[in-house]
Amino acid sequence: MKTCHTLAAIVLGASFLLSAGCSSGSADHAVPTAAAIAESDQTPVRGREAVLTVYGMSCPLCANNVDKTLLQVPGVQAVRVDMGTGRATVTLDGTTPVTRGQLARAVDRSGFSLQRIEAP
Amino acid sequence: MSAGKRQRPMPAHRRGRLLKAVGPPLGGVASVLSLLCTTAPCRAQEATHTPAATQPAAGGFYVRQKLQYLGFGNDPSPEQREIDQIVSTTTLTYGLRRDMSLSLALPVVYEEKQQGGSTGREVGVEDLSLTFKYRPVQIDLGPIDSVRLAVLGGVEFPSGDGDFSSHSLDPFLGVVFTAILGRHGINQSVSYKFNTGGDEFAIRPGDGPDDALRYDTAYLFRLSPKEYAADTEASTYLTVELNGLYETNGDNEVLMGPGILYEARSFALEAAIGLPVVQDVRHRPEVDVVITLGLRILF
Repeated sequence: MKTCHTLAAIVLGASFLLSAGCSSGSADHAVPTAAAIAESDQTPVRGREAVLTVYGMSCPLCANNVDKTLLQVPGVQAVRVDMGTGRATVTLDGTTPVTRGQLARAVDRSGFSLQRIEAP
Repeated sequence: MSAGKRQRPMPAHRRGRLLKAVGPPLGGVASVLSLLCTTAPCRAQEATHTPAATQPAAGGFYVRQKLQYLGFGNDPSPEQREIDQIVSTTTLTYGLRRDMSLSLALPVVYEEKQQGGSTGREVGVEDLSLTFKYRPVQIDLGPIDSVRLAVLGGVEFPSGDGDFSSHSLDPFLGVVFTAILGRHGINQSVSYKFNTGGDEFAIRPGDGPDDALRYDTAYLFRLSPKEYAADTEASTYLTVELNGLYETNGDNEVLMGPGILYEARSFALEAAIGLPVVQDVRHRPEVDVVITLGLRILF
């Protein structure tokens, strides 16, 4: 009986992992398409500041995930998140070029949904 | 620097861990110290005992340190033991992708057993668990509101530590649903563990030789702030949880209790209590009370 359970568990586990791996592409479509479009955007942010509207930051720790991933983008100097409006204000150092796509990919990696990027 | 603003360089976090399996009175103290000194990251909007469909960012990780007191009664084993346990569980979670994470949990137990007029004290390592979580559904409805569904699977590895280990490889599968709407949050989780071994007189629920179905529900209400603002640095939640465990030998137990969760930008503190509301247990001791303190730190 226990052997059957073990086998069943292994089969279920394997199918679970396979389904996760095979659907990795579709997982990206679960977030708003605005994010996917922006990720390929090579348009440089020309000013010193960009404002990103992000959905799903429901708590302070969530906001911190966005902070951290945006700060990993070369050229990003500071990030300020307003959880009430979902707006993340990104300050650039002005020396390293930053594209909209880089900012969009950072938000995607944080696990939240980018709605809009406002930048010069 | 204005409130809520983060600047490079990132502050370095120090980590320390003092947990040592030492003598009886020091076991609990060491657990407390480990709770206070361990640093690491956090999952947000997750109540103390109920999983949530949340995880760290891709490449990020968090550590969660839980310290639990469990009181047991009505032991059906021939020894008729009176048992108290303090369990220190350290969980490391790493974000593989925005929608996938891997967790490793290490539980260390300090146990006091009274039987036949004598008291025995032991410290040991329970089975380790490795959990893979994949979140195929995430619908972010607004700046705060979000609905998510995750599946999880994993295995409990035997620690090999005497009576504290099941000495068997026990896989498990589950589903977690999370909804956050304004100040309200709901987490619902169901998981099934295929026990391939285990002690006939296991103490902890779900650690015996029979399979275990765990069903958990948590409601979170954000006490403060009422509305998030640009300067919000922390929030406090009231939690109510219903945690059930059915075993295929017919045992069924449901604990219910309140809790409090304080969440800052890089850490969270939690406390919760669980008391039995349904208890139909014949193959292991009944759980009288569970008191949990926790710390989560996000890296």
